[in-house]
Amino acid sequence: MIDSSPTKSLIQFASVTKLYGKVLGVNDINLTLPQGAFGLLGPNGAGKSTLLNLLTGQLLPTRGTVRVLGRNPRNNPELMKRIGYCPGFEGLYTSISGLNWVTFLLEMHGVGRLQARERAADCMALVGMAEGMTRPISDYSRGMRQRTKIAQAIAHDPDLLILDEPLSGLDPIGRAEMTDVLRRRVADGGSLILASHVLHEIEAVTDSFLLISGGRLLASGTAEEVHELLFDLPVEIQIRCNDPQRLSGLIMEHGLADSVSLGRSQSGDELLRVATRQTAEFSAQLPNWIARYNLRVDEMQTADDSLQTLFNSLMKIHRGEL
Amino acid sequence: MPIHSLGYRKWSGALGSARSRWTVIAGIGIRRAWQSMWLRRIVFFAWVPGVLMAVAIYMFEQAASEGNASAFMTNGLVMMFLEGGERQSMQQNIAVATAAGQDLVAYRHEFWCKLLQVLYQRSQAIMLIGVVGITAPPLISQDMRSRAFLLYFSRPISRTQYICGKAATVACYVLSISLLPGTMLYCTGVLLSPDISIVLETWDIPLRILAATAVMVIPTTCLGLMLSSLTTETRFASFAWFAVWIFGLVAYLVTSSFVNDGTHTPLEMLSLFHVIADVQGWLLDVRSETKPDIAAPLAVLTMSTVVSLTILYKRVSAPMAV
Repeated sequence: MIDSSPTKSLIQFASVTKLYGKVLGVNDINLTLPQGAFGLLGPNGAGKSTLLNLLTGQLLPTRGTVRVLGRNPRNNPELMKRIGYCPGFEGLYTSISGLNWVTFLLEMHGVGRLQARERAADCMALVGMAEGMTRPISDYSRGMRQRTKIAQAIAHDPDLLILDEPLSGLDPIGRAEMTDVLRRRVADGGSLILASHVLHEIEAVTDSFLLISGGRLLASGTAEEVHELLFDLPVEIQIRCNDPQRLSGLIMEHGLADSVSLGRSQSGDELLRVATRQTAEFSAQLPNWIARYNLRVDEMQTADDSLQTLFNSLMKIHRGEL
Repeated sequence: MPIHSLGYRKWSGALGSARSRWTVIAGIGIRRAWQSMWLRRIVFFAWVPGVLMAVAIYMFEQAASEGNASAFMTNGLVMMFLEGGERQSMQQNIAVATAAGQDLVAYRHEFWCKLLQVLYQRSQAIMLIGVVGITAPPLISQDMRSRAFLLYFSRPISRTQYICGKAATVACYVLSISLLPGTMLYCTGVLLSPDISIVLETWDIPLRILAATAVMVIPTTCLGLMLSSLTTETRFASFAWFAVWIFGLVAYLVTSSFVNDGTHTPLEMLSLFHVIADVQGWLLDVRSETKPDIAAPLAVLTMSTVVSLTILYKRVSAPMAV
């Protein structure tokens, strides 16, 4: 688990709750992080962007206080000098070139025009945009726009980088390149908060995680600890077959499942849901049963990805169900 | 061959003063607005009325140096700029004065001011509606829609600097169609006059031009930006902007056809076109003979500016809406 003390902290959340009317954005978050790199991991709608918007002062907490680098981020231009923000939304002026956009945002920090242009060109080259940087942003692909957003976030050499899904829309090569850029920053001692719903994206940059779901900070720890949690959790498998009663009996008979339930799919077919930790043995046994008992499996899939399973399980732990 | 490191490099350039950062916002706003073909056309043609009036000044100075008042009074080009009542009154004044042996130059100040008033009230006021209607509506609404708004405030700028930057964008174009042609007209007058000492006689006119321009720029810029801040749809802001002028004009025409007792009715005060014209006439020392009261138009302009600025500041300062 992350060891942190309030002194020289990167961020501090004290009983922070954010409500959007009746909808809960984040719920009673207490957290102090030291300088360093952290991944904010959670499924879509978990509250990651809300948390980041609270950090950049774009949102006011309904309750509680937020401190970034020891300061209140709301309407704090001095603090913003030290923060680089790559938003999850577009936020670009499409009629101007990427180079001009990054130059403009740098100029807002007080950098002289020529210096800003030079620095912007360097950063655009760094994110692999040397060729397309003078073209209007409207001509950019999603990946190119994403690279431009990363360039503007790092251009003024901030102490803290806040990145909201920075790798979404990038092709595998782009992901690798941008991951490398971020990794180098972390290696240079820069602090970073990277929000994503993809585990390996964060894992490639940092091994410190914050797990958020349903607006609650469920856990924090290292990649190893997350994997341990994932390993220990049952995987939910959905099977559509001609004789689900017999198959469920076989599974229970061999003790291969934590739980088995019968339900119906949206199309009305009978569906067998199996929660198992012994996926390898289950996979080995299933073809034998199909051959021996004349079963026909029409469809088999995991209910959702393992990360969602992790979050669901963490929520159950919080509710005392596990 | 040496291999260059293209990785992340620290940057430690000097930063400029925070006070000038609004100019960066204004700069990009001006460049983006200039991409509009219609705006370029209006700004180009904004000089035409001024040039025509410069010819009228030339005629005046020519007639004054020749002592030929009647030639001046019957000149169609000169008189076309003056409305029926004004034309008759000026012709009568000059006729009486010349009959009494007075020189035409005694009417120089009055004539120049009248020309400036006509310049502002007729041609430039119409252009003003177009210029603000093109530049102001997208300035904040687009930022809110694309969420560039939030990227701005992840930079070390305050809300006031943001508003100043946006206001300067609009003001720049309004000044280019008001202050510059007005000043050009005055300078032409000075250059065409027989003696440079004319400056002593007309020293107040540049100040009057400045004040008349401020009356055009400040309330309209605030109103335009306020409308832009109320919506994320630029077209709604544009529609509201033009509607304000059209409804105001209709209200003025309808009420002035019924009530003509020399006072301003509340409905007449809805016409920004006439309210601005009244105050400008007063500032240019050319009072309306039918409605000399200036308190009501001044109060309307002040109130409109204060309300617009208050709403604008509240909208820009409000935490992000989700």
